[in-house]
Amino acid sequence: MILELLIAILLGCFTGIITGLTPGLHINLVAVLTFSASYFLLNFISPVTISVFIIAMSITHTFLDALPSIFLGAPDSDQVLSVLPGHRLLLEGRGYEAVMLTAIGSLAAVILTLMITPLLIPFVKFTYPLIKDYIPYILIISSIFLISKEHKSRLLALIIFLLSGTLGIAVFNLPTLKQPLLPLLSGLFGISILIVSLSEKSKIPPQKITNPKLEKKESAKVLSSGLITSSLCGFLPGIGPAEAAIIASSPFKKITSEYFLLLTGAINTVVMVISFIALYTIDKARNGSVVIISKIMEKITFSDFIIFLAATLVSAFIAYYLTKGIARIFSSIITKINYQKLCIGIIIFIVAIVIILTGPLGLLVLLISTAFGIVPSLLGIAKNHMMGCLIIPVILYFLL
Amino acid sequence: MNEKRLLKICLVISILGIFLLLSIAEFSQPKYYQINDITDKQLDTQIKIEGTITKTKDLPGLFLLDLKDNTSKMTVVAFKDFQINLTKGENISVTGKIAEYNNVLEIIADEITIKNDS
Repeated sequence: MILELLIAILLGCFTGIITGLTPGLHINLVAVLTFSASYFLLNFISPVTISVFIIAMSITHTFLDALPSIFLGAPDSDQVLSVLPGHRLLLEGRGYEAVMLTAIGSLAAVILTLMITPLLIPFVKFTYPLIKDYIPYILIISSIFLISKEHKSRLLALIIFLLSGTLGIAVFNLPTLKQPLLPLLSGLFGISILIVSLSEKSKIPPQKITNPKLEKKESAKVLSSGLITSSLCGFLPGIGPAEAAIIASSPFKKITSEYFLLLTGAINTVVMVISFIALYTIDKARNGSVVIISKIMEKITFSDFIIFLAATLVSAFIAYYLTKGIARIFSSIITKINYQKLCIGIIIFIVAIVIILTGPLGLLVLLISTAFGIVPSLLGIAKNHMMGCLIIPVILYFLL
Repeated sequence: MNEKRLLKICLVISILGIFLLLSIAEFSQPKYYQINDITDKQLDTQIKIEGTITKTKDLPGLFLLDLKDNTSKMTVVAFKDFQINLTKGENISVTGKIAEYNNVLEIIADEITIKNDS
């Protein structure tokens, strides 16, 4: 059994490298593909092993998705906020340092989260029934807060948020569309970002391998803020790492690029870990990977949960060293990669997957979502407002 | 292509596209199926079935109904926000998404209508 689990972790980490490094390849897509394959796999291996594979893949993904975000300027929806500070360091020749800041944040956050898990379980169990009836109001307040934090134009941010919501409502109500999230999120946060970054041809300078220098006190403050916000946001539907990062950074008057990267790295991973805890404690699945685990596992026992936490810790350490090694390789080859060809190849791959899994209607959704996903980038508005596509339907689901 | 032009094209596609999707969602009816014809291919899609309730089970937060038509039987999962009284022997029409639980297909009801011909 232990050998089977170790193999599952290693395979999960390997798959996480591919999903994390491929811009536009959302973890939900791989989770859906794993679920499709699970009908066959369950004949040979246990549901716990498949779940451990998904956990290792998801954790590794949250470490490695910083690389395309920082080096290629092509983040997924969870890493949208790390692009600007990460890209700034990249243009100073400090891309490796930027990636390592997110990796340190992720690893520290996993260790801290696992240490406080005995407290988090009763916290989530006790808090969720209290706030359950207020979820739509919490989401409305959070959305207003996030829109008010928009620097460029709050009105445009509101319009983007509302239009995203309308798009989400339309897509979720299409009766014959399977997997509505796949074309919707791949368009809004995948292909649109690739198209925009294809049009921006910035010259990347040679990269230095320098380790980040962090102050213990400031790092502890940033990590604590990230941990508290993620614990609150991790079990709320519709609130993802990008939104949690904005809320977590709001108590700081001025946060440097270095500490912001540390924060986004931490939150990205903690939200994933908290979603595993939420599945065990309140039986709620808050992201694609956890939805698939909940479908594969009939019931999660305490011993399964302990296995999941152990797999999380082992995967986090493996992912940290993988990130370190791959960031070094990226730093040395970044100036030699044909970025345009890479982006076009990924766009073709996503379009093919959408056509295969969702048909012509999914392709139409992908086209519209892509066009809409390009709009905030061209207007200079943060892309996280497009999470309205999930938040508004969730609010309406609870209110109506 | 300059940015302003790209922005205009994207805005037009987005707004017309959102209206198009809203219209498709509003006017397209879920496809009607006989229970025997429902397979894994319909997983996650919204469909319509009709039949007679053969069994009801009251669970915390939801009702489980066994629905039978001329071809086969299927479990209907109805969350308790339905303000409707359903009893054994009633003919109903159910619109909802096909899901899988314990390797068995079931329908998660979005809309249940009692048919008058019962």
